Amino acid sequence: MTSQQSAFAHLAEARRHDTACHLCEHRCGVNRLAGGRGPCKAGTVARVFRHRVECGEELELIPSHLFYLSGCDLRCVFCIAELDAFDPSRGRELASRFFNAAVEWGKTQGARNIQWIGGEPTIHLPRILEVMSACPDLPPVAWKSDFHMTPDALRMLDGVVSTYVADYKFGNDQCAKALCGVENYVGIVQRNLIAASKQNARLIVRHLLLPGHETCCFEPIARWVQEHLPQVGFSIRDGYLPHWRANKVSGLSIPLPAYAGEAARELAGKIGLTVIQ
Amino acid sequence: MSDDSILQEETNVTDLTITVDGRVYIAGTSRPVIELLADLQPGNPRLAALLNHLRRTELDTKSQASRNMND
Repeated sequence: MTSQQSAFAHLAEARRHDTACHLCEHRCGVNRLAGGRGPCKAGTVARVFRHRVECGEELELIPSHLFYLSGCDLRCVFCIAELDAFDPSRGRELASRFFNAAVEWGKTQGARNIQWIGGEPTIHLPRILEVMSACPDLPPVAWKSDFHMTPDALRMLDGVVSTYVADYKFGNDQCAKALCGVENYVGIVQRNLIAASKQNARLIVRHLLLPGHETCCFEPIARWVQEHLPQVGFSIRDGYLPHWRANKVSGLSIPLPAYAGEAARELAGKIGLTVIQ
Repeated sequence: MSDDSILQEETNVTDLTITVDGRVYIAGTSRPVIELLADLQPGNPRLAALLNHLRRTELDTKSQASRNMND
């Protein structure tokens, strides 16, 4: 089955979440069709606030055609997309006419894949599956996600996604609660990473180094990935800059120190992770 | 709104931040920006890796297209 056919096969199930949403682990159950809104505030329209072909991602992905969707289930205090991520009313409607034209344009720019990004794409799964299932020549699909989705949502991506780019942000539940506002973060993300690794898709675990969080976040994440998913590509991002409300959080109001990226790569190499560029 | 205006609106936007210690941060990296920065910072291994990879990918694509035309 092609990616497009898999998208179509999961469409009816995905649409059921429009009336009782359990796409992310907030499991709010709201009826979006009736006007209900959960923590992500998303309705039944997905909106693209930016799309472009980018060349700064992991080497195996570039050039990649990124579709940025507004709306997110997390509230990371340092979010680089800021209100574009948190306000799902921003951007143009994700509809087939636009999507098909954009995909064709991306190909002319040399894009090797399309990549769904946010915000968080999972909260818009029904609309994304709709446009992909109606796309006549769908390129390989990358899914850049916070991995705070439910097992149901992840299952509906099976066969659709070629590459998962999983943002594993926090190494413990205390940091997660303080910095992105959710409970039980670590268990949820780890469960989903294991499940994704069993799908027929490439899995990249990405970690954005946060200043002062090397010991509490980076190291536990690196050691867990080495122990449980040693075969996956581990991507260390050292481009942290304070955005959104990071200036109000102790320790996060400064850029990452220059030495931190190299130190993290050295540790990751020592413990045997497959660090990718 | 025409297809052109739908498609082109935000495709050439790259955000650059230069911190006081001279580090350059890029969000939404386009090919021209990588070329430019590689010229300005020739010893940067990340930029070199990105550029080499993109050039290799382009060569592969051209070579594949050429093979397809000859088939």
